[in-house]
Amino acid sequence: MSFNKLSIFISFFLFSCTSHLIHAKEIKPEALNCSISRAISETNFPETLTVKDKRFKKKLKEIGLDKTEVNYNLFVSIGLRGVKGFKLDFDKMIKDKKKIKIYFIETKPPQGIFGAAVPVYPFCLLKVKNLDQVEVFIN
Amino acid sequence: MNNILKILAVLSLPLLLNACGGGGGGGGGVAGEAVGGGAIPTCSENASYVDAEYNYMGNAGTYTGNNLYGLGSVCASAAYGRGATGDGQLIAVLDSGISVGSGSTTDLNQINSNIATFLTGSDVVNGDNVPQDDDRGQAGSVCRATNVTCGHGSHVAGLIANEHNNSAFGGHGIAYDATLHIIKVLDSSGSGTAANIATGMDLARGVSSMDIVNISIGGADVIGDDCNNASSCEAYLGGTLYTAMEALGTANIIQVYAAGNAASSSPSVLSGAAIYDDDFKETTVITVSIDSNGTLASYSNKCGVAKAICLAAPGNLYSFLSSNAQSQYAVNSYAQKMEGTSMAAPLVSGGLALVKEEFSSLTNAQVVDRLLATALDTGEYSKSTIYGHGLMNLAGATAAIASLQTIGGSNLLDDENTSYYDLADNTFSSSAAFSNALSSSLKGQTMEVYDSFDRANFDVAVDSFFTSGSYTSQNTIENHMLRLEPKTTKKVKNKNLYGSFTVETDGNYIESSMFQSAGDFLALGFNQSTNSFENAVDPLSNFFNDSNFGNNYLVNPYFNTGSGQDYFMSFNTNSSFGFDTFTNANGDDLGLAFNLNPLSSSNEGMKNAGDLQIVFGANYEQNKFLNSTSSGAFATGDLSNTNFTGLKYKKNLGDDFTFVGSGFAGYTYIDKAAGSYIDSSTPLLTSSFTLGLAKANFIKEDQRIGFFINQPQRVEDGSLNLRVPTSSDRDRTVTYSNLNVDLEPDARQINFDIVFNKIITESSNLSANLTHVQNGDHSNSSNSQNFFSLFYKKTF
Repeated sequence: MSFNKLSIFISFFLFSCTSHLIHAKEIKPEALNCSISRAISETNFPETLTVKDKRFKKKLKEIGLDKTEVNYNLFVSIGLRGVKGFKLDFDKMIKDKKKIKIYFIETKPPQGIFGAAVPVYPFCLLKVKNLDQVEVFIN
Repeated sequence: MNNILKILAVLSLPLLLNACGGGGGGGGGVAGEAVGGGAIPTCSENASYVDAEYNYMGNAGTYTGNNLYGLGSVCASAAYGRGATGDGQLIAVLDSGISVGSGSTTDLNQINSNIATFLTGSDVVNGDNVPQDDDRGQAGSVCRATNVTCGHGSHVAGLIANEHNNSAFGGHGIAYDATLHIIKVLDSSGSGTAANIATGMDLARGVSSMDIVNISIGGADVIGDDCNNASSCEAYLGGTLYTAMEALGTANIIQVYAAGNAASSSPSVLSGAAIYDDDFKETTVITVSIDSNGTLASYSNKCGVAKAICLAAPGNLYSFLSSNAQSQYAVNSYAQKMEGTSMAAPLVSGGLALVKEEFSSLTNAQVVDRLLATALDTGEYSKSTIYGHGLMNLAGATAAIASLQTIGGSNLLDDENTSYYDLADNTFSSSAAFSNALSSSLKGQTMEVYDSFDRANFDVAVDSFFTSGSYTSQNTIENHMLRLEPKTTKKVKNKNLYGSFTVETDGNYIESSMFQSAGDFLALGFNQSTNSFENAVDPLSNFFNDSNFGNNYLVNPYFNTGSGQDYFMSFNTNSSFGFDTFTNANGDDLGLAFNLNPLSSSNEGMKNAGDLQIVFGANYEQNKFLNSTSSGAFATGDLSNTNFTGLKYKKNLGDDFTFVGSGFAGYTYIDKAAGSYIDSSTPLLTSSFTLGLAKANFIKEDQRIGFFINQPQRVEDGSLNLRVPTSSDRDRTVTYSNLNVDLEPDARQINFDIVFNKIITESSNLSANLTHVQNGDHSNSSNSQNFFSLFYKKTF
């Protein structure tokens, strides 16, 4: 591919992303609970679970939220973090024709701020419609 | 145009990559060893010190399951068995404070009254003096949502010093007698600023004799990635905090850090910065966490680039200082389980306190070094980039690492001129003349010896170096029987330039007469009796020159060195005067005795012995006294000296009776060796005596009987002053204590002997001997000994 063609391709890609955002709209989850837990086993990795996953109920039980009145159907976690001060926040939920994209933001303690050295487990529980269309993004 | 497109393309590339995801975690820059797969070594528990409370520090699953995970896996009981409980050790806990209770909750009652010391200004966060643990977790946490106290600081404090024998909980902290100084540097969300942590460190440093600072705190960073040398780490952490860390190091205060819980390949920057800075490197310990299966906990950072100052400890533990624990984790109203390197760190802080209490001679840097050096480092724990030095092992840390040694009299453990002796090279074999008194005096006395690894001080029993001499140990029926065996006499005549001389073996003794004229003689001998007096006591003298049974009854005891290779020269100018000289094989011991025979009777056949002999003389013993040999730190000098005198008397009472008696007394002056623990002594007055009556023609002709009473050599007066090391301090100095040892035994050994001899025919002979030994070895606790022997001999 010549360099001109490559430039055209990149420009098209950027345009398509922008065009995609222009046609989407922001919506809200029916229920949201972002929190932090401790002492969770096997949580060294980011994880997204839906109510259809076998581990969903177990996960809620591990974090002590299995007996809430809200019927959450989506669990999102960034995995363990090393000290207090980390958290996971819901940013926005964007719906377009085919997908529902849910964006989260991980906040870590700023430099110069220290925390108790216990593993923390930031997570968010959501209740959303059209679960099959959901895509999760964590920044 | 082409150029513009090229620039646009290059500028767009990062956007393209960003939009399409990417990135990846850091991790300390250390090639990874894999967790698991190695054998899990265990240390040796001291079961007798594993009590019910001991079982309740933490486990990964249930409250009572896998009981030994916490304290057991680090073999804390071994330290308890040695008496270390943390008593007197000061530990500052820089954390979220401690639950001091409110309303009806009185957690303070759960804290041993002496462990929670609050400094002025110890609540750095709120600027007051009560470091109440208000840790509720950060906003949004389960802790906060349920409005209960998470109590990170309380939990950490409890793991160190939860009280022993607590009825509500039943568990205890690893160093349950330690004194905690609680300094609150984390706020109610469990976070703290660098400035507050620095202030807390400075507060801890201001406490006199502060030993250890526990810092179960970390940041969202990794040493080696976010900084990789002292200056960059200082810049990263900020000058205020870094300076406080350095100042703790300069003050020789141990800093214990949690490695962090991000599953990173190296510790956080706060905990790991010491690896690049010699100012506090050797007094810093970083702790990674193992789980109940013995391998690194899934969340725990690894030791990584900081492996030189890092080790592992359990980190999933119950503690009970958090009164309002999360209901989901609480076992009862007090106990709470937490996991993290935050929990492993206080175990190490407590472990260091135990080691520090146990070894008063170690500097804080040496305490750290000992804990690191003794960690279990085989099998799984040999993976140093994960576990550093391995798993903390208090059994090893409180035991000798290398050979134990005595110090050779110096007060300075590290002085280049200080000499040390391996334990086996320190001996004292005491004469039975005072062994009973010596062993009684030393019973229960202890002294210090030092591990050649780091001069850690260990107590040992002083009497473990002493061997008691014994007269009665030779009293066997076999030896008793041997006394009655008739001695054979052999004579060999020789000639030389000066004339003829005779070598005569009389029983066990050689009597060599180089020159012999009518009444005078010069004799050289090997193991010869000291002079001819004893052999002249007819008819029973041979019995009592026999050294096999207890002692020599009539021999000059000051010439009886017991070395087995003794040489004598006796010279009698005439029947009224003579002298004996003595030396041993090495020429180390020397003796000279003058013999005056004022009532001499030089009847032929009596070997010129006088009826009355007065003896006086002196001996010199090299590195021993009164036949008591010693070595190493108990050595005596080159020439201990005994001045002695004696009296021997023989009187024929009529034709049949012979009375014999002898008595000796001496003053011994012990020569002090340089650096010896035998520091001084009074002159030792010793005595011995024998009285005997023999009758020939007893009842019948050719029957003889003798009755003897004997007291073997005994110290009548005198004492030793032992100056032994009994304590040592962190400035590496040794303090000695005096042990004044009265050497006079508590009783007097008396031997009673009846000897009977009958000549049946010219070729047959019957002897009998009855012996009663009372207060053997001059001890009133000795059982009496009784012996009876019959000996019949017939020659063909």
